[in-house]
Amino acid sequence: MSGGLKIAFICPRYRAGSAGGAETLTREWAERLARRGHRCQVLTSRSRSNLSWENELPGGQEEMDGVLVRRFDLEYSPPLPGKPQPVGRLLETPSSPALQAFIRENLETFDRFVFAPYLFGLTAPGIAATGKKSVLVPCLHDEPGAYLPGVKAMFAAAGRILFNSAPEEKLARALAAFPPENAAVVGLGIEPPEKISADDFRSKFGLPRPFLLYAGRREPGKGIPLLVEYFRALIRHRDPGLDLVLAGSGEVELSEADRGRIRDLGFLEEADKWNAYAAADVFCQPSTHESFSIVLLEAFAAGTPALVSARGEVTREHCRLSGGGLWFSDYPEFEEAIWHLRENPPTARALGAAGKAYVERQYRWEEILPRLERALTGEPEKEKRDER
Amino acid sequence: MTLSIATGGIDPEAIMAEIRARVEERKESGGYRAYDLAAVRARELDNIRIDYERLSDCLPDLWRTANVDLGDFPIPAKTPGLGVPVAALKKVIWKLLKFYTFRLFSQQKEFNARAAVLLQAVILRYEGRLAELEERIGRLEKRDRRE
Repeated sequence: MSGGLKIAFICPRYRAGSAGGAETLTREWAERLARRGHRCQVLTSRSRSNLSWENELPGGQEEMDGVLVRRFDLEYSPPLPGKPQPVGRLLETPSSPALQAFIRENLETFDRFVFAPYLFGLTAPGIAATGKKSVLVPCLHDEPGAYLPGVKAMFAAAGRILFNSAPEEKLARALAAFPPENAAVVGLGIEPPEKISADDFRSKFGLPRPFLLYAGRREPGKGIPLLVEYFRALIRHRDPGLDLVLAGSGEVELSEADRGRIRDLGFLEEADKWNAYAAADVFCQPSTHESFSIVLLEAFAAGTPALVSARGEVTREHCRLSGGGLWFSDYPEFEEAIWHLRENPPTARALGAAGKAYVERQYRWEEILPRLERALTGEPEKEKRDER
Repeated sequence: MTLSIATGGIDPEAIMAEIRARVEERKESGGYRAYDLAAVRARELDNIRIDYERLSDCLPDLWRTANVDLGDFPIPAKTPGLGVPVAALKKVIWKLLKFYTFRLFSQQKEFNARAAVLLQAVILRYEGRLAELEERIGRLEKRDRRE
């Protein structure tokens, strides 16, 4: 590509501790595009927490790995104590009048304004202000907020829409009208480290027994309470001799009785996380709210078979297309799938190998980045996609 | 678009069919009869509740479209001068086509009302199912505490 684009990425949080999918995607895209000669800035908030949205980090600007990061104050109206945020306000709060003013003052400075995700109060007004220059990365999944009338308007107004997966695009088409030529599936590259060691992980954390792994944010919306409850039922009724290892940020409610068979390792460093994927006998992704599922693809990349919720369109599609995993729609299927993998090691190995091959084929940065550049510049897409 | 077929030598759909068949076998042979799944059901209930809330959010919009007024409405001239004959022409067209458009719009209104009623019924069923499951979980929890 001749001559770099000047791109502003707008994301509610950025490099502020534990990261969700939209933050991870923004960081990977911004830093990698900057290394390819594009001038990238990130417009974000001073917040660390996606629950309290407090302005904790210093404001102003700083250079981080080739990307200029500008932090603005957020305004946030919390819900009533003990209540979730009303669905009707999910596209409004938190907001940042200062960030929106910066966008309006710099409409001519940038070639593209990339907004992720569709939720919260930065994206809808930002897209309205930037029109054809706007690029929406919705990170959409089937949840109440996706059905708000404002979502339709947002998709109609966005200059370009970049999806993380084909099922996400399919859901968006069911919810909103937008020209097909304005949309593309891009996603993220998955790059395992050169050295991954299952033995290092087992010895470092004292895990000699086979285990089922969950890694990622531990929030009720991610299905963790359901996974813990399924696992308790599994060892109570038909114990397959597996432990459950939970890794990631957030709290998990475990009883003393759980702790013999469920290990909560909390947030893991990058190297430990990859070693954990390799050491796990099965990786479980119970979340139904994924537009991409980085952790599932990382587990695939480590050669580990997966078990996902059948209600998660995106994760089930990854498993179906890759042959890298199985899915469950209720407890009996969960139990039977675990037993199937335990009793058939060659099948488990074949699933692991198929998942790994899928990631190597579909999610290499060498292919993703040119696809992203074409999508940002509006060039026609010639994407390779697995289909069965 | 170039398509590549991912076979990987393994068919997860076939494995899932096998797994589902084994679940059915176990169900028929009473393999799950002794299971205590009250807590599991309670967690699964959370997911049903999310679906229910989404349906409930849609209902007011659907009723609004079902209650739309099909009667005549004013067609004002938006600009002076040419706007007046344009508005007069619109009125004539409206009256000429009314025999057809009224039928069309009333059918749509009828459809929207029926869809709203149907959705209302689905929501009521969800409410019934939620209440039934909550009651069942309460009973099972009481039984657990007694034991």
